[in-house]
Formats: sequence, C-alpha cells, structure tokens
Amino acid sequence: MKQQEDLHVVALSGRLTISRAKELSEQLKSSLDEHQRVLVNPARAENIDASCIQVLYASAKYAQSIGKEFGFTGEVPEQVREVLVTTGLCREAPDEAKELTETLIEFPKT
Amino acid sequence: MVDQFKEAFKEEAYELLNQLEQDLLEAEENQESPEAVSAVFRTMHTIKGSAGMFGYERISKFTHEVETVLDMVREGKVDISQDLIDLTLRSRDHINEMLEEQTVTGEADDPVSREIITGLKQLVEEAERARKPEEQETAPSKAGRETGEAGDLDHEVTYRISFKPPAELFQSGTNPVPLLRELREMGDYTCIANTESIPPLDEIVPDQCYTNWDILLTTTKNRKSIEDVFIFVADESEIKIDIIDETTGIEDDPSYKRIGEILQDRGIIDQSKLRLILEKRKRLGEVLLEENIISDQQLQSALSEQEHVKKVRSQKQTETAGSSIRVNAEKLDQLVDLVGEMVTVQARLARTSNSLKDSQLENISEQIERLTSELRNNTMSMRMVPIGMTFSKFRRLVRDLSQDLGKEIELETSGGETELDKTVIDRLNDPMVHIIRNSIDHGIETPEVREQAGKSRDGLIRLEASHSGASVHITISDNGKGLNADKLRERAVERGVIAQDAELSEQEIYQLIFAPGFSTAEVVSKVSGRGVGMDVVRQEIEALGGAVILESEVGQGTSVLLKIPLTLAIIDGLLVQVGINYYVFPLSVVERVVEFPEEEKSRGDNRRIIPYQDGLVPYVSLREFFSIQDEKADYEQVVVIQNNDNLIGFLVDQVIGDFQTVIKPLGKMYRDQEGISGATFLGDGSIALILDIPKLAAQIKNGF
Repeated sequence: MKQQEDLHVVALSGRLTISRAKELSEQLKSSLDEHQRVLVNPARAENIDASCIQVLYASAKYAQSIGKEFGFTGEVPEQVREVLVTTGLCREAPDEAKELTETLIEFPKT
Repeated sequence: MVDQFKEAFKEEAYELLNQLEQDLLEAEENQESPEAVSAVFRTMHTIKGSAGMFGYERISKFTHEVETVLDMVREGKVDISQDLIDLTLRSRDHINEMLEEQTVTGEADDPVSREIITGLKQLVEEAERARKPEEQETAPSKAGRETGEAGDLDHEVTYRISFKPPAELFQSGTNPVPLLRELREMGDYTCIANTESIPPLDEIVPDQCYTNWDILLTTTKNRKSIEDVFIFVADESEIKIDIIDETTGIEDDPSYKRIGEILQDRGIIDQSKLRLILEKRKRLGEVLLEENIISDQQLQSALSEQEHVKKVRSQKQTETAGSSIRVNAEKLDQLVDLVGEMVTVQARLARTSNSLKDSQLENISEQIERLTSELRNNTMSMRMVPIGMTFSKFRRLVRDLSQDLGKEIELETSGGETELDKTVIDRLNDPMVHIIRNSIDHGIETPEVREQAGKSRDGLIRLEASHSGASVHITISDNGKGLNADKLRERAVERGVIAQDAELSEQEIYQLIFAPGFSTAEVVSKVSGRGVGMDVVRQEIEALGGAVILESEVGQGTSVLLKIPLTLAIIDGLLVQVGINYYVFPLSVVERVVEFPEEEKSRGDNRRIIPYQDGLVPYVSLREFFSIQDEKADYEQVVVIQNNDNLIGFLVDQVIGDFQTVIKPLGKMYRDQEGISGATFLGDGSIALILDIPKLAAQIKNGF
C-alpha cells in the first residue's frame, strides 16, 4: 500500500477470488475510513471473480455515502478486462484503470 | 424502374424456388429433421414476403396457404409425409408457373391452386383427426422445435436469458464467470449485470452474491445447449430462457420492438400503464424513471436488448446484401467484349511502342499490358459460377423419373464447387439431362432385377466435377447394367450405321450410341429411347469446344466423361498464317507442330499422309480447304491435332505461336460457315478466324 497525503492507493495482486473477498473488503473499508481519496491499482492482479468485483462496487457506494472519493489507477491486465466484459460490467474495458470509474456499468460515480 | 425491380424479384424468386426444391428433397430424405422443415418454411416465407412486396398478389396469397400448413408441420401438428412433400413440390412448380404469367393480381383461385390447397388442407384435417386431445396440448413450441438434445439449429436465434443466482452461490464454490464465458463463446453476446442490489461496503457480506444478469445471446445453439450451461446451478437459481428473435435473413426488418413492448414482454409494466404513459407524449424511459415505475438498470437492460437485436439484424442484412450483388448477365457480356477490345488496343500499343523504340512509351505499354491482363482475368472470373447449382437441379429429375419407372435410385454429387463460365453451364443443362435420363431409363435396372443380379436394390448415379488444366471434367456415372456391345452392334447393322462385316473394338461399338437416330431401348418410354439423345449430346458438347468420352462395363455400369473448356469467351489458341490470312487452333486439341517433310512436297499422287512418331497421320492443306490463292511458302509446317482419338494434320505456311484469344462471334453472313467457330482481332487490327476442329474434322472425313 502506498500512501501520499490524503490519497491512498490499494494495489491489487495475485488471484482475487472468493477466498480473498472478505480481506479485500476490510482493507478497502479501512482505507476509505482513513483517507479522503482511495485509488485501486489492478495492474498486478492475475484474476478477479464476481465476489471481488462486488466488493469494488460496494466500496464505491460506501465512498459516496461518506463523502469520500474512490477510483482506479494503473493499467488493467487483460485477464481482468476479459472478466469485466464477460460479466457485463464493461462493454469495452479500457486499458487504463483510471477510466474504469466511467466505464464500469452502473458504477457509483464519486 | 418498377419493371426493373420486378425483374430482380423474378430472378431472386427463381433462385429461391431452386432452393425450395433442394430443401424439400432434403426434408424428404430426413423426415425426422426439424431443421429441414424449418428451411422449407423459411424459403416459402421469403417467397411470400417478396412476392407481396413486388405486387405478385396471386403468388403471395397462394404461398400464404402453403406456408400455413408448413408452419403446422414445423410446430409438430402435421407430420412430414410423402403426400405432403409431393404437394409442396407441386406448389413450388405452380409458383414457378405463376411467375411466368402476366396476371399477377387477384385471388389464387385457379384450378391448380385450388387442387393443391385442397390437398394440403385435407392433410391437415387428417392429422387433426389422428391426433389425440392430450397430444394437442403438448405440441412443441414454435421456433426451434426441441429435439431434447443439445445441438445446433440451422439458423440464428436470439435468446434473452435471465440468470438470478441465489445469495449463497459463492459459498458453494461456484464462480459465475466461467459459466458466462461459456455463453459468450456461443455467439453474439450482450451481458447486462444488475448491480443495484450490491450494498455499500459497511453492509456487504462478501461471500454473498448480490448480482444478477440479463444476457442476450444470438446463436445457432438450441435451447438445450443453453440450459446445459446452467446445469450445476439450475436447481437453486432462477433461470428464464426466452427466444426473442429469429433472424432468417434479408427479409427481416432491422428495426425491433419499442422499449415499452420489451418492458411489457418482461412483465415489468402492463399495457394499461403503458398506454397512460404514452399519452403524456414524453420519452417513455424518462417518464418510467421519473415515476419510479422501473429502475435505471431495468431501463438500461431493455435498451441493451433493443440495441443487441438491431445490431444482429443489421449485420445479417449487411452479410446477405453485401456478400454479392446481382448483375445482369448481359452487362457482364458487354464488359467481356470491352475487355476484348482493350486487349486488342493494348496489343496495338505494344507493337507501336516497339517500333518507335521510345523507352517511356514502352514503359507505359508494359504497365497497360499488366493491367489489361489483370482486368481480363478478373472479368472472366466474374462470369464463373459453381456447377453445384446445376447438379442440385438434377436431384428432382432423378427423384421424379425413378418414381415413374418404379426404380430406386440415389444421386450422389461431388465437386459442386468447381466453377465454369455461366454461358457454358447454361448450355450444359440439356446434354446432362439426356445422359441422366438415359442412365435412369436404360442403365439402372429395376430393384428386382438388381437383386437377382446380386446387386443392392438401390441404383446409384454419381455426378462429379473437377478441374483439369483449362478444362473441367464432368463425369456422369451409374452402377447399372452397362452397355451391351452385341445388342449395340446388332442395332447398328439393322439401322445401316455399320456394315455387317465391320470389325469394331468394344469401345468403338460403344461410341455407336452417338450416331444419329440410334436407340437401344426395347420399349420407347416417355423418358428416353427415341434415339434423339446421345447424338445431340455429342453435338452440343462439341459445340462448346468440348469432348464426350464414354466407358462401360457389362453388369457394372456406364460412365460418360464430358471435357468442357472453362470459358467460351477466351481460349488459349495457336496462331498460324496461310498466305495473308490468320487462323487460330484451340490449343487444347493441338498435339504437336512438325516441319512438312521435303519428300512429301515432291510427291505427285493425292496421298496426303505424313510420317508422325511411329506411324502415319493424314493431313489436309488449310490453303486448299479455304481455297486460298496466294503463293505457297517455301517452308510449310503441319499442326497435328487430336479429335475423338484420331490424329489429323493441318498444313499451314507458318506457326506464329500461342495466343490468348478473345472470341468474337461471326457476323450473320458467316455464321453458317462450317469449320469456323468465331473470330478474333490481332494486335495490328487484322482478323484471325478460330477453327472449329470437330466440324472441320467431320468435313474432312466426308471429303470436304
């Protein structure tokens, strides 16, 4: 985790499956509670499943409810892009994560 | 303009009728296949739609009646039977006849229409009487009659799949991503994830599933294949699979349901509410959202469905319309003529640039030569059509004739993708009909006779096509009784075709069937046997610049090989000169060019024979044949050609070389000139005559 002033970057890595959904949700909640702006960097994620995607949606909703900013940074690996399109969360996933906030369908904008 | 459209419709309709015939024969063979019936229905439906659109009211009304019955077959309410196939084939023929008639409007109440429709209605009534009431309630649904097994349909269907997994989905170790991926791989896929129910992070239970999906899938897979994807989650999930669209081709309107209709279909709003909202004259989606009747995601999902179906339909239209365009054959002929002129002008340009020795002009001339060559090849390729369509027409012929004669005959085809010039294909039809009729009538035995001979009851006719250099070989073979050389010989003597004591090999005897007025059928049938067949076949094929080769084996069958040139518009020729005149031999018949032997020049007698290889070959002087008065050349050459297994030499002044020739028809005055099949322009604008070798050889044989 990299920290810079009020910005906190959560770097995702490895396989983000149901077994890590709880850990991810706790990590993101504590980041949002502690920082004004939280960015998720999926560049090193090898994979992601529906449970962890739900956690990202939940984080955006939570950020919105407590007046914080939640977004993405870095690059989106091919495997993650494929999952986002297959699960209907993106029509065409962008290469850069910062655009994800706009392209994730029905993703709460903060 | 209207006439032009009607012409276009007629052309399309003839193609559709051919397709319909094939579909019906397919359905006859595979009576259990729902795909075959669907194909027949769709083709009939297209004919009806197009006929209505272009004002062919009678056809449209008649087709509507037939289509109604076919729809019942498709729904499983009426079984496919021989009577049904026969009546539908008759309907197809009747539509064909109606296309030719001038009266296009009015009711389809002519006697033939009435008879067919009555026959079809009787079949429906019989089927309804035979069906038990409980069966009527369980008739399979329209669109993709289910076979109960996973598999492919013969057309694309768009499914709307609603997948609501249980909250505990993840806890059971199930990941929905591979399942959605499997659907995505089946076809054109649009997935809408409904994420509204995902709570904020402080409320979420991470191992619970809050998402559900609406999927739009356009695929050829049947419903069972889709159900199989959900096999492991089906019990605990809510899965709804609906067919929302069937794309059958160009007749489909790319526009799709309005948003209100989609939402109504999905049971989100009812009709009365929809009517009230529409009265407000605002955008439906806006009002529905404002009044909290639907959620944003429900609206987005409906919009996605509208967009998906529109996209699939437009793609289908583009594929159908864009893959080919219909061009009048006359326009193609004109193009070929123009290319021919271009080739001539290009040859003149080449000569001029060579004589002027101007390097810049030579450079331009070479570029034009390359472009002309490409243009010529491309233009010729546009006229090439696969022979498969012609082959498929014969299925009906074989079916009908074998039924009439009480024979059981199968037709097998191969090499249908082989392409030939359209003009050649059109002229091949009649000779092939003759040969196939002969096979069915004289060649293949009745099932009883075949069984007695230790053969299978079913006879077989094979049509095969393949390329061989600048020719196409078409073989029509059967596994019938073969030709009877003794009987043929006997008949030939009887008819005075050969002398009683003529010594002929078996192969030579077989060739006698090409003699005019020859027939071996003991009973003249309506099918063949009037002796006007095979001699006409040979004439037709030779007129195409081709050859017929017949082989037969007693008890095993007969095979007729047609060697056909790829095109009639351009031939590879050998250009020769006699005096100031030029002639072209088709290169395909030329064996060799030899020097005219000195000793023959001084021979005083009328014996016209030269030594060739290990034997002797008769020759004819083209100078004498065409009565050319110019002085003889000092050194003459002989072009040795092959015609029906015989070698003949033609004495010419000079062989100039091979030459790709654009054939021009002869004017009216010269059309009946024996021995000449056409003309061509040379580079300097002079004319060369193209020799008709079979006719020339026949004239020589008769002592011209």
